[in-house]
Amino acid sequence: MKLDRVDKSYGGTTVFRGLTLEVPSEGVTALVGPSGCGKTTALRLLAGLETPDAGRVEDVPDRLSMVFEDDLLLPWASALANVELVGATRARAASLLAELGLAGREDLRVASLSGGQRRRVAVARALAYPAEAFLLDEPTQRLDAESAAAVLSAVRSHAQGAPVLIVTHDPAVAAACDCTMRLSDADRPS
Amino acid sequence: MGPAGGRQRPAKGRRAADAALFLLVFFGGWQATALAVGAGYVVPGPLDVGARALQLGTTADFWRSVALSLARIFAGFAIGMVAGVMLAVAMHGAPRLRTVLAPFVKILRTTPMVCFVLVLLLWASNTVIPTLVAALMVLPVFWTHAIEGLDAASAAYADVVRVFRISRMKAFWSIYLPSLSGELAAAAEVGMGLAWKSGVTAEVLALPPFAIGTGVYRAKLALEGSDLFVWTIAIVLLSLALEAALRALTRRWRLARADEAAGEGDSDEARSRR
Repeated sequence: MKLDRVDKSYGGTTVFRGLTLEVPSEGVTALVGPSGCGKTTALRLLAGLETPDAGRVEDVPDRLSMVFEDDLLLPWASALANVELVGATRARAASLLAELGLAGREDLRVASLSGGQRRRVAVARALAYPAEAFLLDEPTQRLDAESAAAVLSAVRSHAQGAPVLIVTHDPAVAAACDCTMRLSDADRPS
Repeated sequence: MGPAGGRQRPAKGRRAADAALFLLVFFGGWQATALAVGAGYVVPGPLDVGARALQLGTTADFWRSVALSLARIFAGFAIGMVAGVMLAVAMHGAPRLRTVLAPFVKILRTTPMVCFVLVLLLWASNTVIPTLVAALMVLPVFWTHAIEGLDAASAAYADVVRVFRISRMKAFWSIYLPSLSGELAAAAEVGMGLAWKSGVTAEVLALPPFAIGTGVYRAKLALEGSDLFVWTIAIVLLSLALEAALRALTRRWRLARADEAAGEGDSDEARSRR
C-alpha cells in the first residue's frame, strides 16, 4: 500500500503536501507522529474513505479492515452483534471477544461498556472481517498496558501475514511493532 | 450528575399539597364561574357535570362511542406511522423520489386539518373520515423524524458500511432501522396527541355514528352544557391515559437513547463505578 506524492487539505487547511508513504507488504507497522500531522487522514486515504487532492493511492488490497478513530459501534446492540455485523459467525465473534478480555460481556449492550471495552469490541470487529490488510487507528486507545498487549497479540495472530498499519501515540505499542514510520510536521506545510 | 447537581423532585407531601391546591383552585373557580353565569346550559357546575357523568357512564352507548373513537383514531395513527416511515425509507434510498415527493409532505404538514375534513366529506364515508384525517396529520410527523434519523445514521455509519462492505439491506435492518428508535419514540408522542385531537375534531365535523365527536356536537346542538363538559372531560382523560400508555411503551427506546448519549461522554472510571 502506498501514498505517492499525495496532497490533502480540508477547506483552506493543508494536512500534507507531497506525502509519500509505503506500507511494508507484511508485518505490523506503526505510524507515529505529533497530533494533527495527518496520521488518521493518511489511514483514511489508504482505506479509500478520502480522495487525495493530488497524487496517487496505490496497491491497496480489495478487502480492507479498519479500526476507526471513533469506535463507530452500534451502541444499542450487544458486543457480539457488533462483531457479527461484519459477517463473523457467533462462535468466532465470541472467541475474538474472549481473546481480547471481554469473556462474559459478549451479550452486554455496547452503550453499557466502558471506553476501553468499547475499543476492544472495535478491534474484535476489525479482526473478524476477512481482510487482506488492516488499518488500525489507535487500537490501544483508553487501554492499560496489559489490555494493549492482548490487542497487539490478537492483531498478530489474526492478521495472518497481511500487512497491518497501526496509528499510535504510545511508544510502547510502536516499539512492539515490526517497523515504525514517522509522519512529521515537515509533511505539513504551514 | 448526582442528585445535588440535578433538578430534585419535590417531597411527596409537598406534591400532594400542590395537587390539592390545584384541585381547589380548579373546582372552586369552576363553581364560582357557574354561579356567576347562572345558566347551567352555558356553564354547568362541577356537581351537575359529575352527576351527568355518572348517568352517561352507565350507558352502553357512551362506552361504545369511546371504544369506536379510540379504534378509528388508533387506526389512523397506525396508518400514518407506517406510511410516514415507509415513505421516509423509500425517499432516503432514492434521492430523486425525495426531491419529487418532499413538497407533497410539506403541503400535508401545513394544510389545516379542517380543509382535509371538508374535502373528505365529499369523497368518503363519515365513518372513515376521522381515521383518514388522523393518518394525514400523523404521516408528516413520522416522515420528518424518520428521514432525519435515517440521514443522521447513514452519515454516522457511512465509513463502517463502506469499509466492511455491508449490504444495503443488512445496513437498513441492522444499523439504520434500530438507530431510529429514539426518533420514532419522539414522533409517536407528538403524533398520538395530534391524531387524538384531529380525530375527535374530524368526528365533530363528519358525525359518524357512535363517536365522541358526535356526542360533543349533539350536546352543543341540544344546549346540554353538562353533556358537553362530560364529553370534554372524557376527551382530556383519554388523551392523558394514551399519553401515559405511550410513554410506558416507548420508555425502553428513550432510555436506550439516553444511555447512548451518556455513554459517549463517560469516562472509564465513571462507568466502572456503576
